[in-house]
Amino acid sequence: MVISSLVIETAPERTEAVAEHLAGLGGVEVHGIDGYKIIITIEAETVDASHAIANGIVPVEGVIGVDLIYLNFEDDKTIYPDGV
Amino acid sequence: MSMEITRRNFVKATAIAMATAAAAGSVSGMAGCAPKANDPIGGESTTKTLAVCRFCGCGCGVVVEARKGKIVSVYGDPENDSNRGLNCVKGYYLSKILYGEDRLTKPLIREDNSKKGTSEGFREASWSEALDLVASHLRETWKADKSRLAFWGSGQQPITEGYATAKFWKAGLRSNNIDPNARLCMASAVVGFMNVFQTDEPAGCYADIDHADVFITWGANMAEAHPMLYSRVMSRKISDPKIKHYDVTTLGTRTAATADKVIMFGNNGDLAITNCIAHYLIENDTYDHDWVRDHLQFKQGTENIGNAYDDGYDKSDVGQKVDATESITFEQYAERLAPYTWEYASRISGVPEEDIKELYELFANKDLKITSFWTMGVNQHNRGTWVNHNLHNLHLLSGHYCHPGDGGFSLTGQPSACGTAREVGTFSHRLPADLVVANEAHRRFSEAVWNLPEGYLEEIKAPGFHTTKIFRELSNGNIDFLWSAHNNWAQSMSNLTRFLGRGEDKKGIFDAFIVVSEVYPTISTKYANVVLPAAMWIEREGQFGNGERRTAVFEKAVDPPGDAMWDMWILMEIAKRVLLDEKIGDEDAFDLLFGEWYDKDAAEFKQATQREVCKSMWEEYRTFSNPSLNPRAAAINAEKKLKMEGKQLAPYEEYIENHGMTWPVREVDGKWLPTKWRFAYGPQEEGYDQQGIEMYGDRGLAGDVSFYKAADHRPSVVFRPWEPPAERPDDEYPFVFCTGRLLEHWHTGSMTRRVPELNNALPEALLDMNPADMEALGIKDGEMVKVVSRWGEVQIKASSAGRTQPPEKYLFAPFFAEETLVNLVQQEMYCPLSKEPDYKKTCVRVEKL
Amino acid sequence: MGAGKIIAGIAAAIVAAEGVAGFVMGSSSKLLRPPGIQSERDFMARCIKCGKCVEACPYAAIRIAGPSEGSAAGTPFIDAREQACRLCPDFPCVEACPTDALRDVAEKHDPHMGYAKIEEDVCIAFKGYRCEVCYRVCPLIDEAITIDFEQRENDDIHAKFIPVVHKGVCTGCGLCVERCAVSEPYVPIRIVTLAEDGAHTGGGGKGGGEGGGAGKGNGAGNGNGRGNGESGNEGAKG
Repeated sequence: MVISSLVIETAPERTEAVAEHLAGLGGVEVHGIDGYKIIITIEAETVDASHAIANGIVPVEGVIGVDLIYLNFEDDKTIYPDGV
Repeated sequence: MSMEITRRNFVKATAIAMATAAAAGSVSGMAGCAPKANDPIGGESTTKTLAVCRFCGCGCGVVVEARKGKIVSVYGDPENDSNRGLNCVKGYYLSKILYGEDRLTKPLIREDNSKKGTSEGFREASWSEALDLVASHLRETWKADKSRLAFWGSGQQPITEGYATAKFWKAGLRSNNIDPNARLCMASAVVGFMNVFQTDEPAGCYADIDHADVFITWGANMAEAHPMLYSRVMSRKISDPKIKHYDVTTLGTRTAATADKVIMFGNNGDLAITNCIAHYLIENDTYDHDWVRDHLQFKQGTENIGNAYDDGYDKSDVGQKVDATESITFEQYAERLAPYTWEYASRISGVPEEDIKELYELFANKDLKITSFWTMGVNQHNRGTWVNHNLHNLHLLSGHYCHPGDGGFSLTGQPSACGTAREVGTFSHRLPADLVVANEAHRRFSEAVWNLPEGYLEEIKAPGFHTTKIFRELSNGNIDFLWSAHNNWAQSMSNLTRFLGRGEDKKGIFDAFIVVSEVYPTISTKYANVVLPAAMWIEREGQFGNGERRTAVFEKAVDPPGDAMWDMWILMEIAKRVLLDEKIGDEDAFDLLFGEWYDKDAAEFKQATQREVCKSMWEEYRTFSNPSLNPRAAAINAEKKLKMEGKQLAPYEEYIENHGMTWPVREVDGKWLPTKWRFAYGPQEEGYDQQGIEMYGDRGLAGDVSFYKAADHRPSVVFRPWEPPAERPDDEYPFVFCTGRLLEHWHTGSMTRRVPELNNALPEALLDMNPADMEALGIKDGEMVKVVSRWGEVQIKASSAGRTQPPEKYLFAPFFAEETLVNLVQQEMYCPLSKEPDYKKTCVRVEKL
Repeated sequence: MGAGKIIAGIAAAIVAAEGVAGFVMGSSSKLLRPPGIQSERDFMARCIKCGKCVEACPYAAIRIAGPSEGSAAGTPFIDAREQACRLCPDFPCVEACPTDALRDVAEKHDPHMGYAKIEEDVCIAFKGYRCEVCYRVCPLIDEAITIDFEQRENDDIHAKFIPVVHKGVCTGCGLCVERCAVSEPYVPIRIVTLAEDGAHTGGGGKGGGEGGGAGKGNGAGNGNGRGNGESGNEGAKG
């Protein structure tokens, strides 16, 4: 799996609603909330798929920022067909 | 099958931890500034090694992570006391400097001399061919006429490599034609220290910043040139609004912009201002009586020494007398200062009298702790040694020295000008550990450590060619062999129009056999006959000694690319060829000098690892400052009172375990302890110079300080008069042109410009002009102009953006851009004592294109 | 595999990350206009898409928006990261504009193209590194960007040099964006354009224009402190 973690910044009055929405997205896990920032991981087969999920978070109402923090793609067969 | 469950859990846990930390805003709290969020490769089989930054004299410690033979991450080492984990943006990108596209990976031999000065005309060669060619030329010149060979070294050369080079040149070739680029940087400070204290390098340490009440920067753009240290200064200022910073400068900089008071001067006014302050310290009886009584002796020296316009200056009547001094009384010293009234100093310098008085009030105040910092504005000065003298004079006369927060701190520019060039002695007049070739006892002592027959070094008692002399003679056709390493003389030397043979005559550069050891192509490699590809930074093990006397090891983390080799190996292979069948006494010369580490027949090191080679070589080097390790040396040390332990170094592995240590390092109950404050008595455990003073010094003197290495334990306060710059503005050349460095690029940019982010941050060299001058000349911001001096000309883009803010009729430009060779207009003249060129005051005119 | 593949992989990840970030930053929806713009509305009313400003710019900083920009297609914009506006003393683009869509700028303090905004979580100066490239390249150094000093976290002997953008002074020229020394995971400084800010010359409060579903990165509630540059000098400008 391509594993990434992100911090989702939200408008403070919508933080809870956004977190709930994120938790329901495929491949996304919510790990914590720090003020108006939500810590999530995204797991997907490829970097492109991971990007697509992150992209889908951007237009969610109340989302101000999507910050990629960590990305591990050693498992992405489109980048390393034979493994790392 | 995708990644195993356990690895996946690890990766995910790392991901969550990092995001959580980032959300909390405390990524920087994780062990310094690390690990970086943009580095996705972590986990097993990542090696972690210690190093120090490749760049400036701050000497920030770093931790290096490598995986599968490549550097993946470099971050500040929180356990290195010099920086506690902080880096500047150059340090941030250390992981990228090894990976520019055009790394040199094969030896190159120039086939077409007509193309010298361009990157054409080379062919690739094997090491054996290149080494044979280099060594044969060196040996030939050595045998024919030793004055016609030279080595140009560096304050960026690792310590053990510098040590071996010095040993080869001085004991192998018995030549003093070896000088470092540190001649262009710290020589004035070195000669100042040696003249005043008879020992080199600052007495204090970076921790002085944490205790000072007042900072004075003199000719130092610390905000850009010593970024990490400037953060420490600002931190001290934040802690207490009473703490003030005075910037004594010739132009506005980012340092001036953040100072509390800017004192802008011209016309070598630094000499007049400092003498003026000294004058009133005595006249108003605000000098420290106890210090004068207990610690000082007074002198005056040769004056009206002119300038080295002429190649033969050093041998001229006045040139031969510049170092001479004579003792005078305190009263006579006071008399010499009498002309330096407020009015006079103000007139000479252009600084208002009230401002000079304000500086004076600081030194007159016994309760303030004053730290002075100075660098190139003071050192790269036609009277640089004299300014160094005067700065020490102020601190000594007023008793503001040798206590935490109180002292004169000469800042070092390069990462190992201290550790290598100065401490190992790769200068035309030096031997290791503060020894000089001209001193008989010093020669005997060196012979002892190097196991040479007594008297063997008599042949090197006269100093050789200093840097400007090397390049002058090269241009005159009097140098047949030149080898350079860890520098870029074709960009950084003065008067490039002459030295690169671009004038009508003096084209000796094209006939000389020039060897350049390098990692990337530079303008210097264009002038080479042979280019030797070297391992870069942590592609081999090395050591640097930084500006606060901290020696630190940088461990080998990855292999060099292609056929690039460790400089030490290159040196051994050349030395063995040059010294073939040579003898020292009855022994084979090479084996005597290097046999401990290198098997010349097997063509390999005797120790299994670079670590062991360095450790063994270090043990010999540290004998200089631990003479008890060598009975013959110990006897001379005792008899001649050399006090070699003044620079005592510890065993090699201590430096790795302790993430660097500041010398003198003392053994106390089996532990090795650093010294932070030299000459100050106090517990060694707290970093005071207890052992040094107990061994050689005196107790009970003013401040409980003892300058045990100074003659009679008394530093010399030497009267130095104001004398003008070598060039002064006139109708033909009405501007004063100052060159220097800016934060994003290191020196000639051969490394930092190959980091895309740093190159993008500062992509071109600009000429900072005063807006009034631009308007008067009809020059617009962004317009290309021509700068012309009596030496040459260069085209450059003018800027009024104000990164530096020159006063009227003053200009600034950095020297990092090969395509904008500002040194084509740069004067050659140097401080007659230190031989360091004045890079700050060439007179020019500016023309529209 | 080996070093080459690892570099390729990192590059791919960065592109992916930048792709996300690009969307977040809205660079494609609210264009950075040339100097002399008074407001997006005024500009769109007057700009006849003649291209004369594009030709006039000696730095080729002005480009033409493509069809994906909808009604803004064919209008001039600046991609600061590629090539910022250099605030030419004689403003040739303004000089060239036939309809006064670009007007009323005499010297480098005058333009109002937007203002710079720093992403605190990515900017390395906030992490305590000595960087401040943005501050040193700023044509209005010590005016549009200044430095705040703060103690570095877990470190009692070093200060952070925090760049602070002053919204009322910053012209939005974007040289700071062009030169920012950080590019991974994305460039942590961008121009909040006039269009995005929804503000007029010299006015505009904090975090204006937050309305609409896509009010991304407008800064409302986003670290309302000096870091994101909405403090400091907001006085009316000439």
